[in-house]
Amino acid sequence: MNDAEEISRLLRPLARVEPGRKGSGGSGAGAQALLASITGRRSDASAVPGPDTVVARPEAVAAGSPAAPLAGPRRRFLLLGPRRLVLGLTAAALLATGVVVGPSLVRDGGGVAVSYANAAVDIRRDGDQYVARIKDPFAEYAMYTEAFRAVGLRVELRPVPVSAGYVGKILGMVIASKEAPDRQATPDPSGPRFGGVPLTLGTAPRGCEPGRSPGCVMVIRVPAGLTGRVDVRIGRQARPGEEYANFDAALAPGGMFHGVRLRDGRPVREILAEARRRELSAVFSLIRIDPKTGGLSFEPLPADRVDGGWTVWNAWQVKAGVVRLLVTPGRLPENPFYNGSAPPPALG
Amino acid sequence: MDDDEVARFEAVYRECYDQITAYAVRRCDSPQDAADVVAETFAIAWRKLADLPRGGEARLWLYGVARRVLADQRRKSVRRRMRDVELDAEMVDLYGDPPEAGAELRAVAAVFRSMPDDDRELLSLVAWEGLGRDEIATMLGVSRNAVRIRLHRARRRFAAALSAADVHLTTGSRMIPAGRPL
Repeated sequence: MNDAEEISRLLRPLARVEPGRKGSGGSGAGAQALLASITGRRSDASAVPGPDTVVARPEAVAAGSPAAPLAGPRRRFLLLGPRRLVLGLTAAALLATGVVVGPSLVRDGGGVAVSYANAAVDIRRDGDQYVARIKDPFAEYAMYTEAFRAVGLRVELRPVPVSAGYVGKILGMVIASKEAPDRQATPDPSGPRFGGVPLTLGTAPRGCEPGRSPGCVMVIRVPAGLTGRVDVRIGRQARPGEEYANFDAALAPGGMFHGVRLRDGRPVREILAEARRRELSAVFSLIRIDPKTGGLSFEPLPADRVDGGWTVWNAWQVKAGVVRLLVTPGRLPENPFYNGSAPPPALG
Repeated sequence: MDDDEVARFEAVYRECYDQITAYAVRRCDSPQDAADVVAETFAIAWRKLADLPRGGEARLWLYGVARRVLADQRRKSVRRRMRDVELDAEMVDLYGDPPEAGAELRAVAAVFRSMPDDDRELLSLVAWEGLGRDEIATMLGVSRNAVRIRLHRARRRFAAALSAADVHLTTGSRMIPAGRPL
């Protein structure tokens, strides 16, 4: 065996994209949409009239792997692109580890309905899909569960308490399924496919806000054979004193701490003064960083144990009138919320 | 973020998009995973724009970010998806049906897959991304000498693994898998 050049010559044909191949230079629609979603600006190629719908949506998820960069409340992000309500989906697919056992497509005469309707939702079979039209996104949660269960699906629509600006917005869609979404098929423009059948989430009319725009219906199309669970979270107005599910939108537009810059950390006393100006009360959590994984965890801390000279690295909106400041006693070399590869929060 | 900075990011994006995409596609089993890696890499670059070097080093820096994103993705059993379905569709194009690989190529691929991750990464940075030692050193944040030593060892191990698998090479020409008539 010769040497370097010989090995490279052998390996080159193994590359899925041929070395040196000329690409699009980022000019494709997807690449343009990605650029626009990152910078928050539309480039010429993806310019469309309409409201600004490029939003990164964080969502807290209870469980996760210990190696994930955030060991506390975890985040999933959806990128809502400029073209449609839901351009991206968070598909948390538990990869197949064994034989999938589940209900068959339609159990003829076996008690599984092909359509179902109640005051909140109307579900009908359409080819390989069930089409659910959510007429009232804030109905009793059990009404949706009951309807989807009647046709043999596990779809949960959960209204979660949010701050005023997030009412009617979809906070996330999580698909937990032993079946991985199709990997090689050409993706449907609005969602992943299972066994060739797309799972999509949208609205009719297109682009309206469920629960806000009159006549706006949320439409979920689910592959009829899907055995996994689909969990859709939609924002509803929080009741007085109720904690927000969009807690990490504090620094985002519409958030209670919007405009505060924490990227480089700020002294506690300055941020407390800012909270007072905004008539917010502050609570604290200490940031702990796992020395091995870099994962973060948070420990609530009484205000009297926090010194004005400590550093604030992030802020969460807990509930109306209350902001939680994430602090460390000393300064860190960089903002830990920017560390690692998790999409960082909007730290202003 | 001022306009100059946005323009700088957009320029880097256009300039490096193909290379970062190729990097991700070569290392991810599915177009969706590759789309995630590309999206996250550039999202991080945007957030850390102040750290993004100017000039030719930007590409190496982005490779470094993409590498960490990829490692992170592989570590997680539950995937985080940063899905842009149009981006997915474009990635799918890069995953066309592989040409019928001959027995030779399949044998090399099998051996390559059996190599430790670090070795595979170094060898492919040279063979696929066409990076030199200096560039790899910059990307990985290690000394040039360290790269030289690691690369040397990786090549030695790969050559040994090839011969252990009875894949033999004739210098500068085609290889001859064992058991196959010449």
